[in-house]
Amino acid sequence: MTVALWMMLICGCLVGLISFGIRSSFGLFVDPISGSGGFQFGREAYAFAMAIQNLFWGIGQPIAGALADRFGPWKVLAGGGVIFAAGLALMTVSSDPLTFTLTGGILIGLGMSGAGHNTVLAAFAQLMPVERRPWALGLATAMASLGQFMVVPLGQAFIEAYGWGMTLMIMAFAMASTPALALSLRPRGSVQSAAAPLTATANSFRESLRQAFGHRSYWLLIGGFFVCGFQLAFITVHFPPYLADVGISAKTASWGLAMIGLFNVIGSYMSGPLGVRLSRKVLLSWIYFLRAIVIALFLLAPLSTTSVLVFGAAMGILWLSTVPPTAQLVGVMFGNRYLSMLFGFVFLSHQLGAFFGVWLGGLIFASTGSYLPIWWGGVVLALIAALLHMPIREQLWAAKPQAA
Amino acid sequence: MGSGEQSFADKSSRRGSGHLGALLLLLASAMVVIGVWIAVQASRTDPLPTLLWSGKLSDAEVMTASPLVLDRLGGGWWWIYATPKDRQALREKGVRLALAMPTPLAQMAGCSMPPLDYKLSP
Repeated sequence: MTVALWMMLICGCLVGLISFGIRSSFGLFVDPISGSGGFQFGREAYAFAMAIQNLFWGIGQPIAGALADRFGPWKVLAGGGVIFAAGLALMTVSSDPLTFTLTGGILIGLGMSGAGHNTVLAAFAQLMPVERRPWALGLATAMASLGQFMVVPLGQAFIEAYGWGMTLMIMAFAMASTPALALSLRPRGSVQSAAAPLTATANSFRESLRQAFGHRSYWLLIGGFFVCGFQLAFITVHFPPYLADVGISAKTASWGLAMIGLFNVIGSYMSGPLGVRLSRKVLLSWIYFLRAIVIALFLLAPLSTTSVLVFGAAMGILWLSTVPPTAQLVGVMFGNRYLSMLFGFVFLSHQLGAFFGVWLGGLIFASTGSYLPIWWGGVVLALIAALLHMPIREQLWAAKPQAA
Repeated sequence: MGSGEQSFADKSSRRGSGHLGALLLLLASAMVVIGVWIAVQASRTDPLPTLLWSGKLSDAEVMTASPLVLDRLGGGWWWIYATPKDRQALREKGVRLALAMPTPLAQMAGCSMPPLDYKLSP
């Protein structure tokens, strides 16, 4: 690989690490901002802003993807980074729920759409040489996972040492480095010549959307990624209270989540190269099938510290390992020309799944007093997702020949 | 070696160097984050688990000079619970290393934490 390609890879990975890490840290600010040491508008207002943030992140993703396809991912990364940084900085002065929702919710949600890991994947898919592409997608996802795993305790240390306001400003400065990092993702010189020409089966946004949404395999992929979002969000939010209810300590729960974060780095990285050796749809089917097995075994086995840690490690391996093969499949089916936008719609489905995972987890617990129905529901959904990927046609979309 | 074998060897070598580069990138990023984490923790004024290498100081001197010894690791290495002022005082007495560590990292490294209600004397 050339120096320019390595620079592009490192800078792109750093953007993913910073944005994904910061994005994962918002839970740390709930009490400092909404409580007596902050703006005192209560947890509900904070939670509403975060819900809006996730919504705008999901809705903004296809739009950011379309802009990336039109103007280049590096410009979208740079613009998204500025919006994200502005949102973080303005959060520090948003003292009422409305302005907090505008800054911490809408601005940051839109910023994450542009300066997020998905735009980095799109840039790599367009600029990396074909034989290096799966590996680069795996590495980018692994770096984002590392950010998720390591930036959260760092954020907590900053809050304890300097307070929440200064921490947000430090995060804003970190995000403000995105435009400089994005410069190395410009298609130029050796980087451009190293990549394969952009392939596409459509000539316009509208045509690409018509092709994709008229293609059964695209819908199957969207359905599978919905399940991914559902399971990840449910486990992230409801795993600690589930363990607390059955007498497992909060410390063990946090170690379980840490195991997920650590092994996620390994699983994300491995799934990139595996997507070359195996068929992507077969790999995805296996990932969802194994998730069903892991969750079922966790529910059936006696709960202990060991079972929590083993579950965390196994789930971690399968956590974001779905992302590289899913992105690769979109590229395989429709080419790279409109990859960002088409993957953006798949990601929107992931976010909708995440919404239902969190919401239904709380709703079912409130009505039955148990998380078990939703856990087993997750097992069934994982089996369905495994089946959904099997009929996917892993080939470039081709129009049906017109009847004479 | 035939051209096919040469090509296979080249591919394997490229793949290996890619994985090594990726591993180095992941490790370097993790080390930077941990470094910043330790630096931020060290700037706090409250007591933290501190990795100490006593250097020329005897065990008795470390026991006397430390506000609270958590673990004696052997070979001059100790876990103590100390504020920045305590760490500075220990360095002035000849301690080679007194590094405040984030509590989770210290716990992962096997440090026994003090009781929750423990307070250092002012």
